[in-house]
Amino acid sequence: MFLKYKDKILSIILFSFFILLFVAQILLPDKTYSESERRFLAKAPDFRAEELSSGLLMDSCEPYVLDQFPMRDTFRSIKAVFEKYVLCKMDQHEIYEAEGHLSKMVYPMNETMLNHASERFENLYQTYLQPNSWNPYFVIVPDKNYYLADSSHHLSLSYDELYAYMQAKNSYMKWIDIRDRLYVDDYYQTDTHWKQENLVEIADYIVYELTGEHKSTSHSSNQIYASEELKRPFYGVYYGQSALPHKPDKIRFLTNETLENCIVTYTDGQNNTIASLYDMEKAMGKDPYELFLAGTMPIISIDNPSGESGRTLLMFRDSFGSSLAPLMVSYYDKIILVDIRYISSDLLGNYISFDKLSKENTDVLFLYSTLLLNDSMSLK
Amino acid sequence: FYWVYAISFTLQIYYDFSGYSDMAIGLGKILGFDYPENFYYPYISSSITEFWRRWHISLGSWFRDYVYIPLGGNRVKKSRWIANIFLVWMLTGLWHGASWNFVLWGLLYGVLLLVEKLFLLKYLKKSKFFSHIYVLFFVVTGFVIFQAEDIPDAFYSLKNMFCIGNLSLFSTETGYYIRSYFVLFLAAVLGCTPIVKKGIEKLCQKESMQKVCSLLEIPFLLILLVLVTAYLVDGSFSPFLYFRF
Repeated sequence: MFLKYKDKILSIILFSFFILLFVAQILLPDKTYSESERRFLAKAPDFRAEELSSGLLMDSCEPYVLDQFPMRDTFRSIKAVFEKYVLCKMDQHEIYEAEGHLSKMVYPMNETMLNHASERFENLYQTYLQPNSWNPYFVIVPDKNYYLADSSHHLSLSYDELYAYMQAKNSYMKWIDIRDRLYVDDYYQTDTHWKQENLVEIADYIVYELTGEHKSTSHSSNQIYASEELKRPFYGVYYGQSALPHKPDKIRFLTNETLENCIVTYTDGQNNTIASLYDMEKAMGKDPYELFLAGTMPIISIDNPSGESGRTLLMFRDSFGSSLAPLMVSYYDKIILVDIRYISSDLLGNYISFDKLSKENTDVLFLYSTLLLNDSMSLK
Repeated sequence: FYWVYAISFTLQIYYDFSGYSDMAIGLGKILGFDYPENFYYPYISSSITEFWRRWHISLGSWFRDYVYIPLGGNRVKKSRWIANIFLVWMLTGLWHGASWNFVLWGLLYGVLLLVEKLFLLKYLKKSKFFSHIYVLFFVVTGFVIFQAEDIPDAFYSLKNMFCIGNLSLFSTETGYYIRSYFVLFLAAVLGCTPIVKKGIEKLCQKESMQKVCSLLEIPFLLILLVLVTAYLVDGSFSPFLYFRF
């Protein structure tokens, strides 16, 4: 009986599939933002007669239909799982899984981008640092690919070559190499960033290299910091990009009396906002990592009322600096963080009084990840 | 590296175009029209002559019926016959695009077909293995010319394919992409042959398997439908390669 009507049954199922998807696309409200992909989704195009006749309307309909497709995330996961487990493909959109971590292939080394970053750093040095006789230090934070690519046989740039290239291009800086002091589990499994709770010794080491001052090497985060955990699970940036099922991370942040008493001022070019080191509102937003120093801010000033060193740290950094800086607060009276992705280097003098900073007691640190250096067009 | 790229493109253009043609045939059937097949496993051909009877059949038929035969075909003196062949294949190249690389691609096939008609065909019949290698070699090389931006780009690609250029034959990237796409590659190569289709037909002809095959047809097609929808949703718009043709 079934076999007799098989073709009719198949036709009904297929047409029902198309009709259901079509109706769902029309009836379901449009989404504006994709949590998993961390991007805004295409809006419905405005209907104009001239666009219809020229074909432009269909060009703008395409991304809209794809972005607003019903069960989009489910379909993306189906594709990712099929590619990984049936086709045995080694990466999905250049994201791969190794040792429980999601990581992105960083390949090849882009000399143009490294040159651009170096040129921006030299501009900062010539404009603000050299007149004050400040000698900057440079920390390049390796991305997870450094620890995972070789053992998992994925494509990777030569990190030794990148480090050597940047050292040669920025020879006026002193280098602090932290590669051997980090492990892949010091990073979140689903995100690019490192875990703050694993950075206490890194922070101590960097400060030691900057100032010669160090705390006992036997201390751990438990001895001087209390650890708190965000209740919300953390689905990092690689989770959405890969679309593979993966358990989320947990964000922990470290605090103590000193950090709680810090006065944090954010400068976005127009306003100064007084806040705290950890922004709980941003922690509940689209990127929980923005808990650390409110994420994307051009200039942040951290004043430590209980500081006794008389020293100031001036840090030019990317997002990796957001979680590291709080762990350096106890060594300084003041930390100024600058992110030249969000403010032009040429305008810094309007917001930071460099001439008022102590020439002898100011440490200058450049802290950037290999991910940013190899794709540095955002540095202004 | 270039060989991996060239072979991948050869597979891509076949699946792109024959799939596009199959969609047209399927849609036609829904509406009650019967369109003929446009591709008939061209990559199993043992001569270029055979290849053009299996690849883009509608185009070859049209040029034969409306250009080659009206010009006299092979029922003219030899010099005119050779000219007819070159004219048809130059026009076939031009049909794909107003660019010299397409003309060169067409003329390549004109030369090969002429050589086969003059003397090579009888030698190709002696060894199936070498005749397949010969066809695939020229088809892959031809597609490198076909997809190039222009003539200098085509020669740059060809130079690197034959180790005359600056790029190495095998690199870290080559190894990675072969490993990553191996299963897909294997499936694509198998799909270019009638092995899978004939295997399934043979299996389903057995009385014990007829019911199983019929029952499995629905879930198989549904899984396929979900998968192609998933690929569509995840990818950005990717127009058919032959769309402009």
